[in-house]
Amino acid sequence: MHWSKSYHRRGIVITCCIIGLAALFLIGRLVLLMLVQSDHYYELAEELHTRERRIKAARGNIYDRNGVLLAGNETVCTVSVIYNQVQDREGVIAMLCKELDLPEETVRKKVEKYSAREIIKTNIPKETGDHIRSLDFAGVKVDEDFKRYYPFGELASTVLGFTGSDNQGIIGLEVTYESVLKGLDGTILTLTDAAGIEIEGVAEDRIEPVAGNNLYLTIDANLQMYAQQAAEKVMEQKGANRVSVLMMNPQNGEILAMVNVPEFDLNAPFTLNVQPEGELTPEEKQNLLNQMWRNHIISDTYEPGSTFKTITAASALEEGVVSLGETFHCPGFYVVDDRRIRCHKVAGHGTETFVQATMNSCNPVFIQLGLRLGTEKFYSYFKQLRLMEKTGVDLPGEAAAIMHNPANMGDVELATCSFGQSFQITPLRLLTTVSSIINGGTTVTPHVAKEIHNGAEDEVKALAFPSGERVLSEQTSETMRYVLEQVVAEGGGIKGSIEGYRIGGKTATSEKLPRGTGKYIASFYGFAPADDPQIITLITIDEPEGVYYGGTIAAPVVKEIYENVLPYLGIERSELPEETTGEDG
Amino acid sequence: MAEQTGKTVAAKRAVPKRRLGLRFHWDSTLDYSLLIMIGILSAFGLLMIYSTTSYADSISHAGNSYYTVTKQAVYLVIALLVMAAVSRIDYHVWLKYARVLYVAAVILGIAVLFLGKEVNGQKRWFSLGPISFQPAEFAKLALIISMAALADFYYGMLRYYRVLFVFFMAALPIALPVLSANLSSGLILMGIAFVMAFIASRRKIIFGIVIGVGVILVVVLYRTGILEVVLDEYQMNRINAWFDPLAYSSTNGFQTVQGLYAIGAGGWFGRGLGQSLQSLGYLPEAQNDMIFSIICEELGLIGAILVICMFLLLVYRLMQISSQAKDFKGTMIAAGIMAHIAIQVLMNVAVVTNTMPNTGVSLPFISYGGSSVTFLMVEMGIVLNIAGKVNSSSAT
Repeated sequence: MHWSKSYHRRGIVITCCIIGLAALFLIGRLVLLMLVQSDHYYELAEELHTRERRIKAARGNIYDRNGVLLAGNETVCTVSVIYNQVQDREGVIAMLCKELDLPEETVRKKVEKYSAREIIKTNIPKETGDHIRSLDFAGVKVDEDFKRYYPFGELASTVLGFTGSDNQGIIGLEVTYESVLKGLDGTILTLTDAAGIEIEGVAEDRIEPVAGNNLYLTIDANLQMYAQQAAEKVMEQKGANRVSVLMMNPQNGEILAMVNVPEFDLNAPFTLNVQPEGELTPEEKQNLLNQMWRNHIISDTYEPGSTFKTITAASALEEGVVSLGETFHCPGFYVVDDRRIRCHKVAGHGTETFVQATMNSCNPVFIQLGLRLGTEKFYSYFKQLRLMEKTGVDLPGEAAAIMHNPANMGDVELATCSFGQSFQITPLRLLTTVSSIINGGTTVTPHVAKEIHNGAEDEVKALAFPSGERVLSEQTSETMRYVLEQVVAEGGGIKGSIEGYRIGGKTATSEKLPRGTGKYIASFYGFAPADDPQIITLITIDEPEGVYYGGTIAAPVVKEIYENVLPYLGIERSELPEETTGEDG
Repeated sequence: MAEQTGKTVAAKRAVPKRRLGLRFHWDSTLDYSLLIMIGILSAFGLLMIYSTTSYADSISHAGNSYYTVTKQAVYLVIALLVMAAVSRIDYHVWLKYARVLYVAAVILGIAVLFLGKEVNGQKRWFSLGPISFQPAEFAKLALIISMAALADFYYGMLRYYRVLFVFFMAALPIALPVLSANLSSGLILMGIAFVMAFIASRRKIIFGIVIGVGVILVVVLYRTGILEVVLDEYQMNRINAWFDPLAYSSTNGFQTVQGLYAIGAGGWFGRGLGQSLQSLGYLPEAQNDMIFSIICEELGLIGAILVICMFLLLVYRLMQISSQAKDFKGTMIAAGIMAHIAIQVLMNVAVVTNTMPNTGVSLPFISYGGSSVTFLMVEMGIVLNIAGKVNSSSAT
């Protein structure tokens, strides 16, 4: 039997004291952590525990120049089920089947699936959502959401564009002005567990969303509609692939209408606007959709043909290599190097002045103008008139010009370029350059958006686009207006003339590549009033059947549009110049 | 000594029947203060386990939020029954079998390294059907008893330094295998042996010197980079995470940082019982090694200090029992158990507050776990027996 001694007890006491001290030290650590550094860790923990649930901001509306709503939002609902909160499972299934018109099997599978939140159906009308909410089933959640809505459906579809399910622009203005329209999403901060499940009965922190800005366009819905109807009419009459109409103000580049028919329904952008033949692979369907969404005026280049003679003429006049009264002789062809380039009139135009040659759209004369300018000069005017650049339009997907390298441009290439062949530009580029030529000789940037309206603060911000750079003398511009007026008044564009209006313009018939397939693009641009142009319109008819001359089928469409549009724009009838007749090119 | 044992056995026999049943009449030999502390801590443990696990249970066990706490309550009842039984066994019986316990602990400690079930990449568990247990828990008990028996054996030589060497050599076979599989349990074993040797030995100063030299050695090893070579990569990572837990918050510091979030959110009075957010799946092992951080989060600084004070009170009571024990063996066993509980509590709080590198230590009486609470209650039963002898002698 051993007894513990005093040094043993001393050891025990010392041990206990050390334990006590250690405990005190740890309490000190706790004080430091829980009181001094508490805020720091509390904040970090808060960040971890709260989940941001986004409240979608309403996307800004899009209006035309007169305040007609072109794109807005409608409230739609999403119905979802939270497994852990559902009490009457059978009741919920029956109710959802009835209200949402879904097969029981689908609903049952989703309701009985063990998940935090199962979405039953999205994009249901607000009324249905409100009704389901009013039925008040435990575990059934109805969330409101915005869906983009386009009141006119097809109107200006390729221009406005549409948004995807994430409310982000996919094509058109919705893309260009994404940041303007988008707005700032709000958030609901809720406490969640580690799996992200919201904890019930805890107050939510709410940050309200900021709606996007409204966008006002230069487009006039009436003009757009009218142009679309005219385009659809000629497309049907001529059995054409498609027809595009571009209407703008040549003075400032404001686009008044931009039509690509067939248009598509913006409220159902993934539904093809043509009935496809047979079954489509997803890839084929996507290709067709991309084609349908394409804004051909901006994204497709073509050989402009005779409308381009405007540029050759303006360059030659500016350079002084031709005068209005100079006479030419057209035998029906012109020999460049060893190539015989034919005029569209096989018999030839005979003797004609420069003005008459333009009215006749006589190829040999313009070849001569091109050759007089020479490659270097021709190319430098091509560049000066901004044809090598994109227009800078506020729409996505603009294509650039496809042009010869001047170093490789021989006389044959120069000759074909002179009458608008062997290179490609977009219709928009063509019309923009023509606008510069007739507006007094200064650049414009075509654009669709006019103003940004901040709905909340009632602020209006006018959009500015670069313009006003001189690229042609005022003198040449005035001469060109006169010459082009003659083309419509007495030349190839006579079918575009309207009694009492001074209209200038130029026709074109471009054979599509590859040549010899009999496929053409008939086009015509016309502007009015000829002495002080307020509006210029370009129409391109892709692959018309039967008669394919621009002067015969394209010019009358512009005439038809102008007969209503010019009075609508408040452009008065004036004296009509004398009449003569000419031939189309 | 044999005489003394004979007397106790005789005294036992004098108590009529119903030896193992709970007696409801006042038993003057029973240490009620210790019993009440054990009761409070165990009940509080159940409460905290419920508070910590109810949410996760209600999700993963079909709405049964009592799943984990029910299991723990069953373990606890079994453990308390074991305690009651053990408290009836004269503690000298344990000492008689000290050699057997010692050898068993060494064998089990080594065997588990080869035959154990792998959990989280380390073999620490023996699994016998539904029952699994950690030899490390058993090793603590075996070590306490062996060290007490050893100290008693060398009773006459406790003033010599060489006895300390014997203690050290005796502790190593138990501690080393455990240390290699489970750093924290190994450290606890070393700590228990150290404290017991300190109390037993007449030479006290040397222990201070050993601690001092040890600390300096570790610092030097760390500074010179030798530690990096000696330790496993995962252990080194934990040390790095200890210095800057936020920098390692997605890897080694994850648990620590989540624990710190819980503690930091506590403030003075905490979020309130059952209001912990960190227990909602954020904090790994929340009901286990990290339960103290949930106590901090829910009950605040005040609650945490109260819990620590409860343990201090328990340690104080164990100290009293140890110094009043009828004989040296009793003193040593009670001291060993006191050391065990104190070291484990301090290490647990230190880990949770990131005062030391993260190593898995459970909080006695409170953390979830069957085998740990059972061995703990065995120890409590032994202490109750030691205390009973003190009380019976003072009563008569």
